[in-house]
Amino acid sequence: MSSERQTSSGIPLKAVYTEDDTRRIQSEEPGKFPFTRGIYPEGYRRITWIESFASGYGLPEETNEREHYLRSIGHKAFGGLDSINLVFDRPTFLGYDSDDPAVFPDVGQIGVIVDTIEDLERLFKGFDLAKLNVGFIIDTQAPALMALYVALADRWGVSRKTLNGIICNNPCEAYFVARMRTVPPKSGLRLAVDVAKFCIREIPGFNIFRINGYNVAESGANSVQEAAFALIPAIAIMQEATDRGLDADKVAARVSFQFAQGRDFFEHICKIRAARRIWASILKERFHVTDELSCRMKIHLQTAGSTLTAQGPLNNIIRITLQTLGAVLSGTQSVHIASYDEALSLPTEQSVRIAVNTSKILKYETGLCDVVDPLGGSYFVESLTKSIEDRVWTHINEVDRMGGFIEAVETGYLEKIVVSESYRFQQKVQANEEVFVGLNEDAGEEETGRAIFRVNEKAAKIAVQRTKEFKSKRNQREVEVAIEAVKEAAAEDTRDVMPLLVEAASRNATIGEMSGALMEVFGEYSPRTILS
Amino acid sequence: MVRVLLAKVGFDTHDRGVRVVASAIRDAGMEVIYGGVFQTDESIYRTAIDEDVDVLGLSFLCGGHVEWMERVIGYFVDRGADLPALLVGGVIPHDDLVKLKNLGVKAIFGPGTDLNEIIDTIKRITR
Repeated sequence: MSSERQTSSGIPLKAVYTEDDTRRIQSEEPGKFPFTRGIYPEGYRRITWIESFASGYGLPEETNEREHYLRSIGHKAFGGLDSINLVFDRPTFLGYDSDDPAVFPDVGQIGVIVDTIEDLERLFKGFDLAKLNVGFIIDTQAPALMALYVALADRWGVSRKTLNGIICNNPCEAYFVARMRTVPPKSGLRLAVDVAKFCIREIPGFNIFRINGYNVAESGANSVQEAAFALIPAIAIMQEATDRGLDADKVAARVSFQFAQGRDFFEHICKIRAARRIWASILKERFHVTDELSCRMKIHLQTAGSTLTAQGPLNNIIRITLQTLGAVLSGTQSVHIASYDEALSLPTEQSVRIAVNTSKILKYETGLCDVVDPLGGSYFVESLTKSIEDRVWTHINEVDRMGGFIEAVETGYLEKIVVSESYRFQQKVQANEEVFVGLNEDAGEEETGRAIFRVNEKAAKIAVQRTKEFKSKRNQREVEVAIEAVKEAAAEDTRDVMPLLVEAASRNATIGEMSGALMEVFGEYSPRTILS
Repeated sequence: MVRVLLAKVGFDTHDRGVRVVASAIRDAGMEVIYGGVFQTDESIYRTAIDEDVDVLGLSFLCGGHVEWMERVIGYFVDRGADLPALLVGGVIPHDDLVKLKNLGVKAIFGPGTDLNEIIDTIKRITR
């Protein structure tokens, strides 16, 4: 008798699936509501997935060099657009300038330094903003960064209407999985919606949210939890947006999601299919979105960093290949593929090239783009999709019963589940129930790789110097007036903050000053910490 | 009972690993104080002294580990206070292992470390 098997989320697995397992499941078509089989009827035959590799380190011109390198090796978006997806250093991500005494030595380490509009000029040198699909990985401090980018476009004479991209702008993670400098939940939601409102009006080519399941998964959640704890914040964001009078269709059309592609091959694929189906029906039934095309869940998939090992790092090339294959079979719109040395350091040109080639080989050498949703109709895949969907709904319904996302945060419901799952997973690794080849299986241990990439040691000092000089050369009075205006607008719940932030940015206010102004008005919020 | 303070200093908030280690040390029968993220040299010093800890473990994923350890150690030394036994966990480039050891860090635990190794090390250094 063979032992009982289950997915990594604990869903029981039969040995064989047949027609009986899918008899009651509605058959669907790609590109049709509720989009389980993908959001486009012609899938990758018409538009393939794009590369949108998160990158950034050190000085803006150093990241600029990496972006030009990525472009030169074929990392690109659709329609001839360039593709840039930016990771900011921790100070920028948290809304501090490099010259803030509190932030050294975190300056420039794992993302690019952006304090001023001149930093953005260095960062985007040689790129036509009107021919660029840019991603900004920034959440609670999104307002300041968005304002700075708009000010840059204005300064460079690029029409706001020609800008394309995405800003993550997700306030919710900060409250349960990814600690970051933030304000109380209601204020965080308001600011995020403020960014959305501005973008819908001024930069319609921008996606205004990238709601993150990836960080939930990387914090230890299983696939069911990952999907649920991305959808629950998404519901809260949609609710806040519509409560504040935004058109549900216009918001929905610009919401996107990011998920992880991890170890359990089919479960991750089915998680994506289930998520698309659930989100489409939530938008229609709960938020009364009228255009079905606005119910399409746009997805960015990132290969799961936590699945990679420092021991035997070349094995990671195989892992990322399988995960990218899973992402493609999930029908993703864009991918970030980790480099094989992910567990050791930021990628070198050589290691990121292999990651880019992974995408290209799948795109050009395998025939995968020729048929839409080839897994559709598989007895196993459709059955597992349904099982995941049911379990995700259980979480959504539970949080609804509690009173919504903010309640779930305050009771610790979300965090406790993630932290417990994280500990449970590690215990399984300890017990060799979760195997990592080269780390804990019989064949013996492999050498831990050596990190090659190092951030320029001088970057931090240069950045501090530049920011000080920038501040000394500008019209200080103008900045102070503009920042005061930001604070006044922020202090009143019904006013829009973004136009004042853009004004401040155009007057040479820095990230730290703009973010600092908002933090001052709303107050710092520290969620409590739960151990498993 | 051995008292262990675990935390993250600076602005890196990748805390999955340090939380798992905290739970494991607690389950091994030791007293764990999880200091959370965004800690500074000053806050670490305060907590370590107030809680009278035997071991201090800091976790780093985003670099700055040598500078931060120098700062934290310096804070204790400047005040003439005894340092707890020092441990570091996280992503540490190979070249920095020696630098950390030279600062007095007893052990560095990289990705894939067996939790039992951490517990055994703590028992050994606090005997």
